Amino acid sequence: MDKIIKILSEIDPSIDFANETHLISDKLITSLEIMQLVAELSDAFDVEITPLDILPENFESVSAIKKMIDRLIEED
Amino acid sequence: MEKINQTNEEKKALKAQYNNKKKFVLIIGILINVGILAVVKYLNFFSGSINSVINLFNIAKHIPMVKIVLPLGISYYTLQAVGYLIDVYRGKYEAGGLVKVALFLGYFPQLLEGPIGNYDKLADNLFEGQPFNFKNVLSGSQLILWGVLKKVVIADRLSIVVSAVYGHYADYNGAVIVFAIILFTFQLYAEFSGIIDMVTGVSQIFGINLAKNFDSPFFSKNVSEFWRRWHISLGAWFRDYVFYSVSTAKWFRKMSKVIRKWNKPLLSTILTSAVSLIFVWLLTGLWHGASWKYVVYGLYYYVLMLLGLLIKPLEIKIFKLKDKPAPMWFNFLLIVRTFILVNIGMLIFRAPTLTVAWDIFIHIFGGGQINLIAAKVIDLPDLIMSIVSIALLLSVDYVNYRGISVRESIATKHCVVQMFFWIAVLFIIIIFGAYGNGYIPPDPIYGGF
Repeated sequence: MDKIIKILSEIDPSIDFANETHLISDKLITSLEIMQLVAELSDAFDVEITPLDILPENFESVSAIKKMIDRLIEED
Repeated sequence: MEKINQTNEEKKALKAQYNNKKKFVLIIGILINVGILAVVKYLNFFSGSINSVINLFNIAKHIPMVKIVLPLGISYYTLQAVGYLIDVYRGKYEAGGLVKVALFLGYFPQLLEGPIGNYDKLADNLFEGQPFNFKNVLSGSQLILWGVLKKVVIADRLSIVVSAVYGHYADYNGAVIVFAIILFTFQLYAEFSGIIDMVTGVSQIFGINLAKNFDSPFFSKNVSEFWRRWHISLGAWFRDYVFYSVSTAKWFRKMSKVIRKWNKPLLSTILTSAVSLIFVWLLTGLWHGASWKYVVYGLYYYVLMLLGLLIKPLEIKIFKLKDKPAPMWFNFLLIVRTFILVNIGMLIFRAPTLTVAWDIFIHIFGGGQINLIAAKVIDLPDLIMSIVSIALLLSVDYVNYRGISVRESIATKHCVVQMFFWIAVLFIIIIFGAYGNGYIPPDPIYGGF
């Protein structure tokens, strides 16, 4: 979780990522930032995130992102 | 053990072969769809551009121009078809039957101006057929009325002043030009969103739910947000099928990895965004029309978005926004800044050529008449009408922006109040609408794409 929060905070330090649960529906992060995040997460966790994984529900909160990463690691 | 490895390798080879075939079929499908669009919409643009280069070398030969009638709505259903092919390729859903796909692509109300639909969200809704529902008919009809009001009363009336100033811009300066630029922005918004409301309303009557295409765009705090609130279905299409495709491509990931190794976060963000966004904005510009003006229109937003990325850390530092939300006054300034930038974009969009757009822009600083009525641009009733129209559009959008649906709020009132309200809307259309004998209504701007 901390690793994900650190990556997110580097992308936008003005958002309280630890407590936000509507990052996409409240339009807090943009698609450009999501792609930055995808690149960072792919490197940090050695997973391949495809366009099919880029769904709003996978990026709403840190726990949603973690769930997606865990699933991708398992699938690998 | 060796045998299992071999089997796995064989499986992998088979999978790779299958994936290559899948990719081949996808490319053929995209080429056919985009190829037809390229010929009917862009052939003369490409020929003209090549001819201009040929002219530079004083060569007598030219590529002849061809007269082709642009099929109605081709820019919209081509994107729907390509989106469908990519989704099936990505495995988002299974390929549908011929009739279902044809119904999805040929759904008439959205053919002229969109919104650009997604097969998984629309096809079943269209194919299954919906039972008659009085609530849908009522709600859909109200949306159609609101759409007609925006088109016939607001957009078509504003267009008279806009056409007069844009057509004779050399006669005007300063405030008059600024007024016309702003008026065009609202004209386009009222017209495009009005038509989309009518399309959505007609669909709602038949129980078909279309995606939202506008979401209070003039309350955006930056141009990226503006494009998430303006012509949403187009922005979403380019995001899903161009931006995500480029950003997750192997070559891009490799490049991004190398850049990020430099350990300069801001530079790597700008560089990677510059590469992935150039495709999005070149294509968005070209989608709007086959001319260099639209290419520049797209690139204008491309540059603004990159500048936005560059400025963001500075904004956070200067206004001390780290770990806290921005104050209201700051957000208001951002909204004003975005509105100004969007209006400059609209100037490029509306002016017939880039040179004219630049000339008009220069005329802003020419001083001259501030009194619009004395400049004979507009008479007092039309000026009041324009201001009231814009105030109405912004008020409704502001209420929606705050998360309250105006139509749903009206629906909670007593049925007599509701009836009087919608009859009043109808009368406003009849009394103030731009129509009648000898009046030629302007063609829908986005219908030309």
